[in-house]
Order: sequence, then C-alpha cells, then structure tokens
Amino acid sequence: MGEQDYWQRFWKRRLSRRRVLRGALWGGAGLAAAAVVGCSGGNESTSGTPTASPGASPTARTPLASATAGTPSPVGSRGGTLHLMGVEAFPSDTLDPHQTLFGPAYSAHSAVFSKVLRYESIEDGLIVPDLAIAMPEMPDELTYIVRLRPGVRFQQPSKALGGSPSAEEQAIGGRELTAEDVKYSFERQANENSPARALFVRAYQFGVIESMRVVDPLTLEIRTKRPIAPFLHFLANTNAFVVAKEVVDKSDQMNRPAAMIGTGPFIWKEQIALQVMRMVRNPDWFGWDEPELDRPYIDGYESLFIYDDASIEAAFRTKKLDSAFQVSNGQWVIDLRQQEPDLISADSGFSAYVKTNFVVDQAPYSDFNLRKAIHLATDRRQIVDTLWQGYGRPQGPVSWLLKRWALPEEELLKLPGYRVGTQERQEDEQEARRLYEAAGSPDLKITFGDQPGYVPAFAPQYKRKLEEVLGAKVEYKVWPYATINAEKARGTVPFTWEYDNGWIELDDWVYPYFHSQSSANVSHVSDPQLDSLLDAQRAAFDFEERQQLGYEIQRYLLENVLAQLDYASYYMLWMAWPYYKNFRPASFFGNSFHLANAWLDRSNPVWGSRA
Amino acid sequence: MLMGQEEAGLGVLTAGQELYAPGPGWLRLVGRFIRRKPLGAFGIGVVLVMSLAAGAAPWLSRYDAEERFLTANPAYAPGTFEPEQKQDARAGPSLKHWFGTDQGGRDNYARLVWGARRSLGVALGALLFAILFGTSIGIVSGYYRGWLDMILQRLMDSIQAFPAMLILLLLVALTKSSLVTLSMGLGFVALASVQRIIRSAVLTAREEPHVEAARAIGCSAPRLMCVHILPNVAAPIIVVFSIGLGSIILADAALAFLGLAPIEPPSWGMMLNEGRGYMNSQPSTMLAAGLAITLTVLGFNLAGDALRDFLDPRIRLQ
Repeated sequence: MGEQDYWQRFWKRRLSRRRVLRGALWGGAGLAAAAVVGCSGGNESTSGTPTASPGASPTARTPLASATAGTPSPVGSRGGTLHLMGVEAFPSDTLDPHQTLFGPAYSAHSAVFSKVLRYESIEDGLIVPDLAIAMPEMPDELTYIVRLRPGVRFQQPSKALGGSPSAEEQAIGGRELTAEDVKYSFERQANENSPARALFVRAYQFGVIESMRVVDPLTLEIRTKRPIAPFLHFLANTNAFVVAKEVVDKSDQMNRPAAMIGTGPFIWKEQIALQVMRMVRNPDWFGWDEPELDRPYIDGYESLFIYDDASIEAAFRTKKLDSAFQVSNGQWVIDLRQQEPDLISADSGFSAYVKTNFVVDQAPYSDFNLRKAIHLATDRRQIVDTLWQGYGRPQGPVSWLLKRWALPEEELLKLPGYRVGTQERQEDEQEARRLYEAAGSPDLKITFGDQPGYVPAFAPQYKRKLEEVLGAKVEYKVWPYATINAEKARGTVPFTWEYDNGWIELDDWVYPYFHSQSSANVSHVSDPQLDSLLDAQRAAFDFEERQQLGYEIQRYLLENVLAQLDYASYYMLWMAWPYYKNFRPASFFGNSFHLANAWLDRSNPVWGSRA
Repeated sequence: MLMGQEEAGLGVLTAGQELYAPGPGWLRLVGRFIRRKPLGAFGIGVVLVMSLAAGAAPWLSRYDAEERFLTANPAYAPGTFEPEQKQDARAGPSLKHWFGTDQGGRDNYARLVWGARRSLGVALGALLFAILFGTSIGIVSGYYRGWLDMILQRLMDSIQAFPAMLILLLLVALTKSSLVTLSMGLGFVALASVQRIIRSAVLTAREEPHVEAARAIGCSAPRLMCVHILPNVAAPIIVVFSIGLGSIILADAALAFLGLAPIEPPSWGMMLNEGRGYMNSQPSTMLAAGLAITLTVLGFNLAGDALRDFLDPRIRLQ
C-alpha cells in the first residue's frame, strides 16, 4: 500500500468536528512545535514504505513496445519534438565516439552514428543487424564476412538544420558508407601508432582483429587472431560506431560538434552544457529493415539536463518532459502514478551501479584480508536504502540485469558480504573485524566521486559504518568524477567509491578490468589463474559453457580477488504520458537509436495540455 | 533645575556622595532590556539557545548525527534481499525521534543540534575574518582618507560588484572544500560591507574632540586609530556582528543546499535540500531544518537591532 500524501491526509482530516475541538484544546501549543510534531501524521505514518516492494523483481506494468518497430505512426501523427530527461548535456571529457566511456556521451552518439550490429535487447543478448544487411557469415571460428546495406549515406546536417555546410560536412559530401569506413573505424581504435592511442577505450576489443579485407565496397572480411566468442558483441558494443575518416583530425581525434556526422537516425544539432542536448530527424536515414516506414517519426528530441527529483517532477507534471524517472526519491513517482492512472508506467533495472576499486599492488590494499574486511563490512542493503530509498538490487561482478551472465541472485545472496539477515550480518561484521586486525588495522583513506549527488552524500554514513564495524580510522575526500577516472589510471587513488555506467556483456564486465594484459585494468590485478579463465570465456562459443565459465570467473573474483567491490544498482520507476507511443525504458546507456520508433499521438486527450 | 534632574532620574549629588554612583545591577539591566526590547530579548534568547545547542551538541543531541536507526521490515523474506529489519527512514516525530528521521534513517533532532554547531561555527569564523580585515581596512581608509581611501574603496566596490553567490561558487570551485575555506569565503564576501560601515563610523570618530586633543598632544597615527578611534566604533562592530551572523548562516545554508559545501558536519541547508524531496509524504526533516534556519536568522537580526538601539546613546535616550 502506498504512502498517502501528507497534505492530502492533513486536509481530509482538518475539518472534522472532533478534530476542531481537539485542536482548540491544544491550540496553545507553539507554532514551531505544532508544525514539526504535526508532521507525524499520527499513527498513520508509514515511515515511507514504498508502494512497490523494493525487493520484488522489477516488472513492466504496461505492455511495452515490441522488440522491433513497435506500432507504426499514422501519417497524421508524424512530427513534433520529444522532450526527455537525460544527462547527455553533461559536458564529457571528449565527444569522440571511440574515446569515451561516459554513458551519456555514447548515448548521444548512438542516435547519430550506426554500428555494424546493434543490440535489440541487451537483457536478452539479442543482437541484430544495423549497418549490416544480415548477421555476419562465419565460415570458421576466426572469420566474419560482413555485408553492408547498400545506399546508407552519411548525414548532411545543413539540409536538416539550415545554414551553410561545415567543412566536415563538405568533406564527406553525404557520400555512401562503404566497407572502407567500417575497416577504418576498427583500425583506428586498434592502431598502436596513433598519437591518441591511450584514448581509445575499446582498443583491447579491436586488437583481437588480425586482418581486414575489403572484398567489395559493401563487403568486409574480418579475421581474428584467435577464436573470440563475444566478437559479434564487439561489433554491437558501445564504442563500435562507424565514422568517416574525413572528420578525424591529424591528432586522430574528432572531439568537436562539427565532427558528429554519422549515419544514424538523428542529426546532432547542439549540446548546451548542463542544459539541453538537441537532435533532429535525419531525413535520409536508412531505416533498418523497414525503410518504407520512413522513420524517425518525430522531428527530433531534446534531452533536458534536469537532475533533481523536485525539478523533474515539476517538469513532468507540466509536460515539459514526456517521460521521466526518479533520481533518488521514488516517492513522487508512486504518488503521481496513483493520481494519473493513464500514465505509461514501467519499472526497469538500470545498469549503472556503485562500486569500489582498489589498487591491489599498493599497500595497504595489496592485502586481500583488508579488501575482504571492507567487502564484508559494507552493508549493501544500507546502500540501496540510503541512495535509492529501497529501489535497488545487490550487484555482483556482473549486473543482475544481464540474467544470462550474472551470478544467480539466490547464490549471490548466500555469499558473505551480500547476506542481509541480522544474524548473517553480525557474522560477516565479526569476520570483517577479524580480517581487518589480521591486516594490521591500517587507516583507510577513501576517495568518493562527486556525481551523482547521492554518492558523496553517503560518505559520512559509509565512513561511520567502517569505523563502527572495523574500528578503523577512516578519512575521505570527494573528487570530481572525471578526476577520479584520470587519477585511477595513474594509480594515485587506491580506494575509490563511485558510480559507473555498467556494461552490456559478460566480457565487458570482467575482461578489461581484471585481465593482466588489459589497459583498462586500473586495479593492477595480475592473477594467472584468473587470466586463463578470462581467456577461456572468450574462446567458448557454446553459450552454456561460456555461461558456466562466467559464473566461475565471478566466484573467483569474489573469493580470491576482490579488486573491485560491486555494491548495488538501482531501478528506475519510469513514467510517460500516454501520447508518447512506443515508449521504451532505457536500462542501459547507448540505445538512443530506439527513439526512431517513438511518435507523439496528438489524438490522445492528454496531448492537448502539453506545453 | 534640581527638580528637572530628579524627574530625569539623574539624582542629585550631596556632600560625601561618590561622584560615580554604582549603576544598576546586571539583573536589573537585563530586566530593563527585556521590558524595553522584548523582541530583542527574544532574539537574544534564541541566540543563546542555539549557542548552547552548538556548544553542548555532544550532550544535547541524544544520538550521533550519522547514527542509522532500523525498524521491523514488513516485507521480510528469509534468503532474499529483504532483511528482518530495514532502515527507519522518514519516520514521523515520536518520543524516540523528536523531529522524526531523514531518508538515511538518521535522527533529525540530532542532525539539527550538530547542524547548529556547524552553522554557528562557520558564521563565527566568517565574521571574525570579515571583522578583523574589514575593521582594519575601514579604520585605515577612514583615518587617512585621500588616495589610500580611494584605492581601498574602489577595491571594495569591485568586490561588491560581483554577486556574492558567484564569488562563493568560484571559491568553492577553486579551493579544497573544507569548513575553513568555506568560512573564509563567506568572510571575504562580507568584508566589503563590514569595512564600509566601519569606515563611515571612523569618519565621524576621527573628528571627535578627544581625537583632536590626542592628535594635538602628538599621538602617533597607529595609537590614534587603535586607542582613540577603535573603541568608538565598537558599537557598530557589535551590530554588524550580530546582524551579519544571520546572513552568513543563510549563505552557508544556500551553499549546502546546492551541494557545494562540505558534507560534514550536517548542515541545515543540506537537511532542507534532502527533506525537500519528501515534502509531501514526510515534511518533518524539511520543516525542522527550515524552522531552525528561520529562527536563528530572525534571532540574530532581532538581537542585532536591539543591541544597536541599546548601544547607541542617541537612540537610547529618545
């Protein structure tokens, strides 16, 4: 049962005769005291129990759009600009689509650029062709023959936006995309001689390619150095965008808005920092397998940077946002859903999560006992309750959203550190204390990320928890998100506590961060047994075999490594106004191409009051 | 004449009577102050209560500001992520939690009391900074006048030309966030207006006959400023102190509200921001923090007004 609105209760009760008499009796009470004590709501106070049990698996309330195009828009309902809530307007470190791991950035890229393949459903691991006309042919375990769609053209922003074409647009000239572009995009990321080599965040994925041969303008043959089971995922992954080499400068970068010219459904219009990201419809988009639908249906979309619950609620209520979700406090969503039963509602998990990284070759964190002590002392239920008011799940080494790969939750919740029963927590905390003392009881210095705001806000409580459980002297500092990532690579912040995007496939979650040969291994893990497991999962083409290897890797990480402590992720309570058709909640960053299916139903009665 | 003096309550000296009769006792003085300035007395009362809360926070707060309380979990299911006890978040006021709990299951009353220590501490630090430097600049500027005065005043004008919040945001961005830097930043913003008030008082005081006399007998400029002028601008300093404290508490709350101030110790502004999200379902956190800010700022302003009247002989005799 939902928590009743305090003010509704107040006004309902305020006029009863008995209440008036009682009020008169107590009328001498001071204003301040009355105001504060009155907030209790008497015995009706529910202490904020959310309507939906946070422990329940998130379930969609309304049937959502089907996996493909959804309901096609009637001709009369085309057009309009969709107003969404998002953080694409957050200025990231770079705009280069091959050089960013910042989720909001590659979400924007995913609307502008295309890939050879794309994920239709990340949760189910459903990969479908994007630029490819069909899934690649595999004559053997090393060879992939990619056949591209004919007639895919690079965008011409000036046609849609007006004005004169930029130098980049002139250089490309709206030409057709070919296999050379795909080859260039993959070679660029794996090029060891690039002046920007250190910036290519997925170099380790494209480094597995031994050779690429352009068979004809629309056919590319790729050969890998060894069998790589997740290679199709690499072609659909967050940074696998195909770019035109004309927009890449001499320093091998394309970190400027004018270079944002791809073949995707939307054209980059503008990004106003911390305000709005604007995209407009690409009239020449190839339209996947159904070009006759002439998508995108909408004229464009705006991603408004609104990141506090009160502002989001206000913007959604006034229809300045067509869809919204909570940031930290889900109560207003619950209340609004009750008030507006026609809303489209969906509870969806989200891949972003909070975690700790240790640098395991630096004292005192080189001591496994210490890392395990911190792992056991951390109360994941407290994190979910405090950061997201109960709307979250415990997180293992792989996100629970990836049900194919994540360690089953029943197993996870039996493991020390993840168990939440009172007796079990006591046992874990006692063990944590013992391990901490065995590690020499060192002082702990934590670096918290500054974004989102609930991460640094949790710092005092986390500090207190470690002090209480371990008896440790704990200090913390709060650093900007981008600084932490840069410093992590330098190894200067050996104990961090931060937010991360989350990834979309088993290999993404484990290989880059824990393989001794990976450039993304910021924890400096070096474990031959783990390396062999990580290599083995890459070589296992059989799903079940790879799944079991994935489980084994996760168990190994939890029992023997603990270089990264994965705490929890949250789920979003989505709402959309009923005129927003083919609405689809986003559980992962980087899927804005789905907005090609969205349309605005102007015949819906609610539409009339839209701002 | 005699009658007039008696009516005025000034008394008449008779033979053997001391020239300086002892004044009224402090209790009588307090009583007179309360009668004449009831609002000021209320303000001072609020200030005293807040100061007591700040000074005795460890004893008055009942709980630690970060202590997390638990309550029975109705959704308890063994083997799942639903434990026997859950965070007692956003509980209403009760005997255990006088002002309820916040979204982190922490006691609002305890956080308010610890917040008083932070708010008053930051405000005191900021005002000491502003008064120390503002008084120095104001006295030097008002005493010497001329080109030095002009340079100093234009410098102060340029500080005041920037919106205070902009300067604070810049300072927060450029410096390591701590209570000391926060205090100094707030003090810096208050500096210009403090020195302006002191300077205007100095301009009057430097023309007083006793200052002229001291100058005539050869007192040095530093001695004139420190011994003869400074005591005469003490009253405006006290008033600036009491009224400025309220503004600085508000500025600290605003920065904390925006998430730009240090996280610990708890701040009323931060509580207000955190409670805002639950205004409809459980407003006690927001109301408690809002009332604390309002009462404290009001208290300091009322006390400042009353002190100004009380310390100014021209107003006092009216």
